Amino acid sequence: MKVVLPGFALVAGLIVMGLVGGCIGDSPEDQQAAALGNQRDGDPEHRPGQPCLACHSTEYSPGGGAFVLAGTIYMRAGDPDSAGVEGAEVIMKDKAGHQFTALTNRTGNFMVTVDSALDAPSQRARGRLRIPWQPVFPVEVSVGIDGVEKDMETLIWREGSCAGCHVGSQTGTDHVERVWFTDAP
Amino acid sequence: MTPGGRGRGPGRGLAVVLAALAAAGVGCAFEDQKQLQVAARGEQGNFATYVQPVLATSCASLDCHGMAGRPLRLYAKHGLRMDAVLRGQEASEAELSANIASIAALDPDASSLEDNLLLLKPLAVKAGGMHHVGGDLWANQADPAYRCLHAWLRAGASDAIGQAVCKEAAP
Repeated sequence: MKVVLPGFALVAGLIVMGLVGGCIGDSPEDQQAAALGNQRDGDPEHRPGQPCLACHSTEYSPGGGAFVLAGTIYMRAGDPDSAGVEGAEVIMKDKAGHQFTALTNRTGNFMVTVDSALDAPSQRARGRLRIPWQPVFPVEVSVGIDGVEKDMETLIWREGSCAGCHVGSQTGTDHVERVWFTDAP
Repeated sequence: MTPGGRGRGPGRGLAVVLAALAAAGVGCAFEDQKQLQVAARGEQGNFATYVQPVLATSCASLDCHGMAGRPLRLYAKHGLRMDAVLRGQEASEAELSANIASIAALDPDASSLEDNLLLLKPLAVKAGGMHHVGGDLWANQADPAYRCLHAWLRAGASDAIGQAVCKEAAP
């Protein structure tokens, strides 16, 4: 039996195939993750200074664990990407009054995950903090180093990645410097 | 179906696409026209003194309305800036004007002050507000920030009570 496809159906079919093909594996999340470049992954110290939730969010987590808040703390604004400060306290307090503190790891990274089986926040090694509740935004943040605390100028209203707004050298009209602690040399 | 009837031939498909593009073009032109017709309300001095601090505190962070592409785009000291060199400085006159225009353009067809999206979106849904991705900011209409923005929309925050609630909302 000979099947003749009408011209319009053929064209429409090709367009649909093209659109579907273009979408698979090329979501906005995929594109954002790809734009961050190839680096060594697989441990909590990778990709300091990058937007952690680009690959570790509840909606998109090709990197494994899903974080609710995460980022990198630097001593100075001009420090190299890989030279975050170790042992900084990232003190967070959410709208519901929950307070929790993460400690940064060797590259300055910290990451907060939700584990509803817990009764209280649980600090694990290498920058990882687990908390028993979903944080309620807005979240107040302070950073403490060697007994000195500094408050973030604004609240966090929804962005879980520090580097969602704090992008360092790309600072422009809609971004600010990376999270840094002192302007002393 | 005949070629000249209600068939789904290429010619009809093309016509539909062209019609959709034309409609989209008309829609864009309409939006621009609406924005052109928007007039700033109230005094910029009142806005800077009483309203801007409330917006800067609760709305204009970089992860909310300080995003350039978001509806109700707002400039603020620690948020979106017209020029990167302004970072850390108070909002400039041009930025304040832009904020006023953003507010005025947000919901120019609102049937009443209370129906303006500026007031409905941050208001808790339980209190008659509208879903807001940024959450319920005000539990009810008694919130000082609600009353402050209401005073701005009503009369440019020109009355003493309105100014007082604005100060209460952002001390």
